[in-house]
Amino acid sequence: MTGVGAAIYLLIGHDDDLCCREVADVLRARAARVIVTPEPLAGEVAFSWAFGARPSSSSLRLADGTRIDRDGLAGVLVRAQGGPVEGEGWTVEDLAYARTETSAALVAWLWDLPCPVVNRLTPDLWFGFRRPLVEWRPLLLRHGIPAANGLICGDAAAARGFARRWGGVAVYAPLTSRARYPVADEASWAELAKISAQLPVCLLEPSVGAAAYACVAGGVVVWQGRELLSGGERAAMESGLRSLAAGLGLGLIEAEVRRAGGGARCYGLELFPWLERYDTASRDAIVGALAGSLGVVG
Amino acid sequence: MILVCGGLADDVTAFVCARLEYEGDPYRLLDLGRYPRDYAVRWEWEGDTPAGEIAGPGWRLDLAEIGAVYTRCGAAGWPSPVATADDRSAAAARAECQGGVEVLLEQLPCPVVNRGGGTMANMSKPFQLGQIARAGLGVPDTIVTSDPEAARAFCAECGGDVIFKSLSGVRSIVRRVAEHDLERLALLRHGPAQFQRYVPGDNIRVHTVGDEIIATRIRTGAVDYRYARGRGFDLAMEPTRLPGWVEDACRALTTGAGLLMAGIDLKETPEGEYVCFEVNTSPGFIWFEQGSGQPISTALAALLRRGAPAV
Repeated sequence: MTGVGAAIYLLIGHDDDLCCREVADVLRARAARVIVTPEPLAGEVAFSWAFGARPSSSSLRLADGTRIDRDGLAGVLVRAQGGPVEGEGWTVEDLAYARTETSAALVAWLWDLPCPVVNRLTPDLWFGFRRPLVEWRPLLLRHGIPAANGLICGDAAAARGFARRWGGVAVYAPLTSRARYPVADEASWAELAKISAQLPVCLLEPSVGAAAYACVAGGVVVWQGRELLSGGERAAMESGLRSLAAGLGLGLIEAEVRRAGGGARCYGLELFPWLERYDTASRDAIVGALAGSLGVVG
Repeated sequence: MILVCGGLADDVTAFVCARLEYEGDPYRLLDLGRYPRDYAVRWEWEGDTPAGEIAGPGWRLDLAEIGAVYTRCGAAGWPSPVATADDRSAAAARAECQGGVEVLLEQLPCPVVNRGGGTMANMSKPFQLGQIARAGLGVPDTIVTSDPEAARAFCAECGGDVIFKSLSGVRSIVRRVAEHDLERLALLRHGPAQFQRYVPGDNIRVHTVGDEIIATRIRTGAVDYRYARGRGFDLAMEPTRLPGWVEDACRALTTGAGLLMAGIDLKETPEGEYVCFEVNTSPGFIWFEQGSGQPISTALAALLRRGAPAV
């Protein structure tokens, strides 16, 4: 195992983020200095980034007076999008504006850093990381990942026609929420008809049983619920997910996989996965892979 | 068939429709101010691209028939589709409608002016400055900081001739930093702000429309020319020509950002250098067309008519 000496790592996340906590433990065990903060550009930290005609330079000045230059950072783990975290003393509008401004600065600065950054999101992913399945779907298919079929319509008859392929059952999956509602009986179809009379609804093909989760960390695929899929299905998913993560340039993604009529299908993609759903051995594997992505050899 | 996707209450959307009408280009308007009430949609995701249709007042359009899209989703009024006194429910229903349309436009296989993915860089001005520099254009000396000392040092280094502007896509008036602003620098600890060395010279707005470059020179004494007349400054616009390398850089910047049309803000300094400040990914070009007489909407109509390699 190779230690990292006095290397400094920045983990952008909240205190209660298990991923941040465990990665910090691994890095500290290797004698690294670790800064964990949800607000790297303000609050306790004084941030400064200059660029233009001159070469880019940036620094963080911590509350204890320590100054960390751009080139002094060994790696960054991104689990939050900047502050202000505390809303006290702000109007709703001012807080939203301050967060938008900080987030705009942070995404740009991450792209200016020469060290490994997990995840370094492009603006379209940074500002739209929480996407419905139908938005991810073409990308998933391009990487060979089978994904559930979907429909957006404002017509109850068309919705029923879509569900007929699966025995009259579908899943109502609002685009702007993670909630999903099975639509299987007359009462739920009547409820859906009321909604679709007012606005288009998104339906997905139904799945059977519980979800499995595949976390891709630094190219390593770690499963929770692997027994729900066959070895062949897992291998196909893993290959596709590695390709997708590499294509997006991301060191950490998670897919929700469910069994549908035609086999294993992806039902969602997460760019800030929560480690709580994984058992200890799986978490250790993910955290070890993340530490590796940040440049720690272990 | 061209699909225009925007609210008729938006001047630019209305102007594009009028231009297409004048040019005799067939189009359908998905009026987001009346969506979904006056429309029926069925979009299905089974293969690589969505299939289905949009039906509007007296018309029905198969998605496969759409040859190009012009969208101003961000400028549309987006009324809530549900009548409720609960603001959060109304906002949620509105977001749900908007989300569906945006997903569709992102994935149609035809040219879309502009896809949402490419426009997101506009939400981070410093990120855009990186794109601009990579395209080969100069960018102003800039500091993004939450450190009052660093901001003060930058102002001093620039001889006090510094402007500040928002970091995000939230519209703000670009202003020179005044003496009393320096007293407020302590507020920076709440979040970073962006300061730039003031660059003298003529403003030039470049509209890239496909490969076409339409450059407009704007002469004014105002720091932010958009608000010049309202602040008592004169303003004059005229067509201008750019060096070939600047035109090429503007094209590279547009295509590199995944856009088919952009409004690029440059300045030509008294020394003849070109400095680029930002890229508007959904340019409200009417003002420039009216002010300079340049055929920006005609070029846009031609682009939509002939289509272009999808980006």
